Amino acid sequence: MNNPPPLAERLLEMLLPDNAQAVCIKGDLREEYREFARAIGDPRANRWYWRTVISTAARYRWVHLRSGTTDLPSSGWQTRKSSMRDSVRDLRYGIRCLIRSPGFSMVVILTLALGIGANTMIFSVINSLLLRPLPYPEPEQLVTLNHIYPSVDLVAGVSPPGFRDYRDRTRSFGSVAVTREWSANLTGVGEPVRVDGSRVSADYFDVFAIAPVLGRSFLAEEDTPGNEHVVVLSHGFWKLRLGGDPDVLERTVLLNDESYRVIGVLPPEFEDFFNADREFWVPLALPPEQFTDDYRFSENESAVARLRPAMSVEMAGREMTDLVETIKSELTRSFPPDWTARVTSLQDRKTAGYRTTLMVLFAAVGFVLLITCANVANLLLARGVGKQKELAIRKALGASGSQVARQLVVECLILSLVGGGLGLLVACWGVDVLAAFGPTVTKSTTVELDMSVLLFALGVSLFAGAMFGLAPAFQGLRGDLQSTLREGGQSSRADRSGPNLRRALIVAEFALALILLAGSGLMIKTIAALRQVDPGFNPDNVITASLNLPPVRYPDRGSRNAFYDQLLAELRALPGIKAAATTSALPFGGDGGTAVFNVEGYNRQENDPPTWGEIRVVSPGFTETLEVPLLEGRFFDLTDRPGSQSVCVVDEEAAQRFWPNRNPVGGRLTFDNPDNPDTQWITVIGVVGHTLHAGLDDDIRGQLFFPSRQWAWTVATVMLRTETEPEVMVSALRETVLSVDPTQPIADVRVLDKLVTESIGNRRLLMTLLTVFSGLAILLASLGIYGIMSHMVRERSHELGLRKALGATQAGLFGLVLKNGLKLAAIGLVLGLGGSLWLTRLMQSQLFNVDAVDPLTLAAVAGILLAVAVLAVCIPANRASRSDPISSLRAE
Amino acid sequence: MPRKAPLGEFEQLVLLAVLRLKDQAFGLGIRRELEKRAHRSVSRGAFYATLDRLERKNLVRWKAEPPNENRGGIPQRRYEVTKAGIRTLATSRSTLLSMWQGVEAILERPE
Repeated sequence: MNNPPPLAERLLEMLLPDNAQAVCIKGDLREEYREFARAIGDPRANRWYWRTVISTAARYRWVHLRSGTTDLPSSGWQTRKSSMRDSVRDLRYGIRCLIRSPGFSMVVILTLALGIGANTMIFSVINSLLLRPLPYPEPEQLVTLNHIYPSVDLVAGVSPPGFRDYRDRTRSFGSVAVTREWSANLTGVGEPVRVDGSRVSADYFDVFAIAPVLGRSFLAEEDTPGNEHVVVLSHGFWKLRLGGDPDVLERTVLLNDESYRVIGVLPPEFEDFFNADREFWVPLALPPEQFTDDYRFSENESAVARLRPAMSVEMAGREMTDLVETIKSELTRSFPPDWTARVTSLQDRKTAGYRTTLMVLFAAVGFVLLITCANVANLLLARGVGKQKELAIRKALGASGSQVARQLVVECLILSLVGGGLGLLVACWGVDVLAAFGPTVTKSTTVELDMSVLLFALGVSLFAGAMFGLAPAFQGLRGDLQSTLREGGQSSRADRSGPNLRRALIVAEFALALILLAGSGLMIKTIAALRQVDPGFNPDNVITASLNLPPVRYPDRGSRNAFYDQLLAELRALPGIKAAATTSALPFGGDGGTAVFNVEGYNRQENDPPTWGEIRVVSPGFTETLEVPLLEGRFFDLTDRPGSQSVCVVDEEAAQRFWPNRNPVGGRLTFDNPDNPDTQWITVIGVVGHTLHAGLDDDIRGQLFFPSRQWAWTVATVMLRTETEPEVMVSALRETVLSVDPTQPIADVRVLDKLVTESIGNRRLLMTLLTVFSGLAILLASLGIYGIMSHMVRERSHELGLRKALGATQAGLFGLVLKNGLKLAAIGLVLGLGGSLWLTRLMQSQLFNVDAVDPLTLAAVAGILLAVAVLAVCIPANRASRSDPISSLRAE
Repeated sequence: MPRKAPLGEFEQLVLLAVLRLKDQAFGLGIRRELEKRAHRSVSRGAFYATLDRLERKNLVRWKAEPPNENRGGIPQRRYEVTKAGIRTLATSRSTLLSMWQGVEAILERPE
């Protein structure tokens, strides 16, 4: 049988007062509705019902109002609504109570705001970076493929023949694609500008399951040499650079002076996983010879694949390692014996860099929250002692234990929700502060306070409310009515559970504070150790910018050398420039290349390092610009040109590894097969100091430098050593480049010492936040112990007075209180030491030159906490020792 | 103790309807009885408000009864007139009767 429109029934409930008659009216109307519906049909009955609901409720209210009835009868059924009304009453009463003691409420709310705010802040970062799924359909199916070399701890990309094999010879993947960074000079649209883009295999967008909003993606035949002059644009490129031209699909754009036909525009929300700044994609179009085994270890491509449904990352990983073993058995050329492959989910790869940092921080703020709760619980318990009388009176007047407990819980919920609301503000502000730390944790995505963050804040607030509300509520339930009333509101001697609970909370606070402090101590030591590290070059006053010469305009070594020779000469002539050079990979710049080579006369034994190292193509002036020491021989000069003897310079690490106990100058190495008679040998002409490349804690690898004039790459980073602030040279640099080639833009302008500082940004963030959190923890713990000891002194003033009257000295009383307080702190510290031995291990990967179990750090933080505890206890101890026995005895 | 408030005309009609229906005096039925006997349309809002008022004056009381099939599980109220209600009705009736004495002839020959 039909019921009236539910919405209209809800309206009726809302309009009518909350009493039993309302239920009756609802029932009567429902009965009438059904009769109507049978007689005149649903639609008309519905209309009738809506009208009747409004007129009945209005008239009912009006008649009552006119006759002056304020309290409508509510006898009859006990509905759920009446318990709701009780809650509203509890709420009102709770708010009144809290307003009555504004100081207490403020302290509690602010403490909670800090605790909840810190948690919400870190959660919002975690939510954005770790929890939010990647913005592609079925993101859990997306994986990356890598070659790995465990012996040198190297994770590499994949090679063209590898890509072909992993695509064609596996069953785990529905589609496999490769991509390569390719930024290009965009000309013909406003100022010449360097735009980030990439070369991708034809299936690239299919792997991500992204379809263009305009046009189409690549066809297989476009991914072949000669047919690749087509481009897919990002939505931003189309809108901002082409003004959202509706005829964009009939346009061409000039990239590196070559014309590309626009075939598609991607949806606005698409961000390339490998580089969110990419604005265009062109086919990779590898020439067929690159798919031969000669290129088996040219691992320059990043591979991404989509798992078939029901395939797991582990299953795909097993298939890949098996396939690599099969390929090894088929290979006719030599291969590194430890070569294998790895499949990583895209989500894991995205979060790998900061997972530990965030998890450590999350644990830390969790501790802060627990300390906050313990402290607030303590405050409430302390106040609870004062409230005993009020509660006892309420009970005497007939309130049940559960009603009193509920009242206390409601008070706690009000506190925690108000604290949570303020905490959200703290979190908003905190996220801004985090972002101000620069491109570290918050780099790869925008941190925002979304629905899940709000829910988290609410959840944390409720959790906190329950945590600190439980103890006082429990106490409220148990409090002994008669003795409380008889003692006039003083705490009853019989009820000892409160003080014990409070002591336990203090112990917990100290234990948690010690763990936090130990963590921050370890991070401080780590940062100090990293600051001591000498990067091997002087990063101060160096500005850098990258250049990318279009191969069409600079087709050969002669033209490229001419450009860079002239550019460097003009830059060196600028006032304020001490030195200038180019490099293929900037230290701390985030990119670089490695290669395997053969060293003449080096017979690698089983445990010797492989002949593998970092490759740099640099111009003359490199050592002067970065102030890298020249240890042996000479560095490159203008005589190292195409056609002259092939030369290289090695760093001290490579010299030690591959030319042990001899001078490498004059030694030779090759990238070819050394047994071939026509092998091209490269002669070592000098040795320079090692420069750190990927970070201050980087593994040390051998480095090989090759003269840019012989290798003549199109891409280079220009480095300028300036006499003063490097930033002021940016425009001079840009103008000089344009004076050499008016269509040549510069990109990635960076200051070297900032790169070095940013390289430890995550750790500095971790150190700073842990220090802030542990500072908060110390403050709360010391307030807590101060509070409980003061309370104890007040509570036992009678006893203390008696002791004094019986001859106890001031020092004796001072010592008594001090001993009591420090006992709590000491127990907490011992527990905290145990906890930190166990927990700081989780931070191991973030530590540098410090052991996770560092006795010195632990001793120091325990000492700090103990000192703070002494200070906090001294005040009440002092008060106790000065207590006047007459007055405290008289007060009784 | 019943309040010595005067009984309004509509209140009287409602009490009489409840009495007439005996043990079948449910909310909806009372309203229908009123409409049938008194030949007037009765506003639901005013009707329920009047029942509330009579209850407050202790002239009616009610008991919750199991719902009939048309109410979708919502219980209904069965009303009855309290002793105080009956006393008040009786007082009201005798007051009216004494007031009517001697003036009934006017109704029979209106000018």
